[in-house]
Amino acid sequence: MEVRMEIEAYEYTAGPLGDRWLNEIKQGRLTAAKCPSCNTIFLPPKLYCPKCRSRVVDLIQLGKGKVEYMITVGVDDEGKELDHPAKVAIIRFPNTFGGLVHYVSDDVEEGDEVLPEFREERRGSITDIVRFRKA
Amino acid sequence: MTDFKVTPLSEDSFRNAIRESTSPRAVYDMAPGEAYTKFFEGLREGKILGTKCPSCGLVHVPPKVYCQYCYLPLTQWVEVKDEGFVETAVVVYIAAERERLEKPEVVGVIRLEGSGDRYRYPGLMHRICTEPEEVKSSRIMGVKVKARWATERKGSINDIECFEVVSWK
Repeated sequence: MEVRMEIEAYEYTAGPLGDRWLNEIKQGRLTAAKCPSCNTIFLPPKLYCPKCRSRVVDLIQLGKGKVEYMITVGVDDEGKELDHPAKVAIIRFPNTFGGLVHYVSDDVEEGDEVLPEFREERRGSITDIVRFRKA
Repeated sequence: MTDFKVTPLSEDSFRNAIRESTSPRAVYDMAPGEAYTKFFEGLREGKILGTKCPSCGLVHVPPKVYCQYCYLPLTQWVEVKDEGFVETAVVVYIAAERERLEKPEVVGVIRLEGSGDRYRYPGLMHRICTEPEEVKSSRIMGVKVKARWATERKGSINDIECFEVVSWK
């Protein structure tokens, strides 16, 4: 017995709150979810609070983030060598549970404060942010 | 506030949602292996087979060749009842490739009698022949169900058409 399945494409949707979060990014704003019950601010946004399971309604705008860890990536997702190695970091935000993984500019080091650099043309995607650069 | 419990995604919501599309050039090729081959042969004969761990006594359904708790090889085959209890259930409005089902289906995990205990059960995932309302009200949880077997069986999980409610609580 054998089961064979070919995949043409995966189409992901981000869910009711994730969709709103991506729309905020499309408008050039980076936000986080805020729980109306225990006030936990968290990223990535989820419809239910990771601390108290309450239903989340609001997104609040974020300011500067801070680079916690950083690595340099030399290959792409298929193992091919990149022309220009990419710096990828875990970015945390003040009083915010969780964080974001994203590109940072070459001059950024661990501990630096960073801000998102948005593209001119945005479609509602995490890659509407080109990278985080020094604040 | 909108209630998202047991609510189908409308065609409009999907069209308007922001989407990320990836084409991974992937092909899945699945061979059932030693344990599942025997499991499917059992289904063809109208039997649900599992493997029993000689150390902890847990019966694995669907069968495994190693105990997931003791890491011991499992060689003892046992037949379990085609009756059990609904551990969890959900209403499904779309099929595997997102085409809309004409009639919503209920699927769930069934802890078969004779397959493990309350805290450790491998559990069989299958369709449950009941109305979506019974899931919405949580009435289906914990209810006793029994397999409805297909008349023509070919060694597939679909040899069981679904699990039917035996008696409501």
